[in-house]
Amino acid sequence: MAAEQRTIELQLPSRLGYERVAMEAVGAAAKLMGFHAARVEDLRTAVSEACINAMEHAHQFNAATKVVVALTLGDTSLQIDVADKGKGTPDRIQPPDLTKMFSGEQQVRGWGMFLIKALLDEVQFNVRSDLGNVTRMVIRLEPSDEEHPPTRWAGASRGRV
Amino acid sequence: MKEEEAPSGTEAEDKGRLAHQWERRNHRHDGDLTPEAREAREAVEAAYQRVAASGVRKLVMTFKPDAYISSGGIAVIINIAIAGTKKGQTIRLVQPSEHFQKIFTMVGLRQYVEIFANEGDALAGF
Repeated sequence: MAAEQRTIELQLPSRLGYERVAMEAVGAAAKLMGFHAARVEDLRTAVSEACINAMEHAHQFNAATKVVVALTLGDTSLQIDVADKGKGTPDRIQPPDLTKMFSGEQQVRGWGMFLIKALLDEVQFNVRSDLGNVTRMVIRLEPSDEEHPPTRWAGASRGRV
Repeated sequence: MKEEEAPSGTEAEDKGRLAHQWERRNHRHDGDLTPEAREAREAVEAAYQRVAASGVRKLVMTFKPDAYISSGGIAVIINIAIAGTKKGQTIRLVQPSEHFQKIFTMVGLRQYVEIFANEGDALAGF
């Protein structure tokens, strides 16, 4: 018998600020599933950036065009699809390079895609689905999610961190 | 002391304190770029320009513990760090969450700014 899957779907206006609704929903689901707090934060940030990309680059912040965020909660994994009506992400994007930004060789931009890829283990761009063009993100429960205590605020330490 | 005023002396501590006071009043941004926060971003950038014009060379930027910082917010911080480097300023960030400390490391920002656990430590010896 197939493992039970539960789905949650959000439709967000393409307007900055609504990505935080997706962040909160994803964060709540991941927390309830037992993911380590640090991984929840990584996921929240990645989903936020995926939503912002969809709102900005696919929908040009046209609030009437919705970004669909679909969460699929499996027994041991959480999949988040962020779908838009755009044409997808260019295959080759120059990765951001802070050194080049400081020297003026590169504009200060491009961190959204960078963060999505850097924070998550499994990311697929330009997945075609009934929802449209999808950025698919998956995190899987690992033993470390149970072994580590919740993240503690660094303010507990002193001095330079 | 108004934020627009130049520091009372040339002591590094005074300058640091000015930046600190400016920070407390004007720069507790949450990185959110919603329309309201876009205004905050512009205010942050304008405040930085005012402080930079006053000759301050040491700045402290304090984050709210629950700050949300999007990639747009990170770009604002990077732009201030770039401008600060060009002006010979030293910038210290205070109490970004562990998550954003990690992100600042990932993007390479920690090569250019220092991070402290609290404002007292950031100002000590600054």
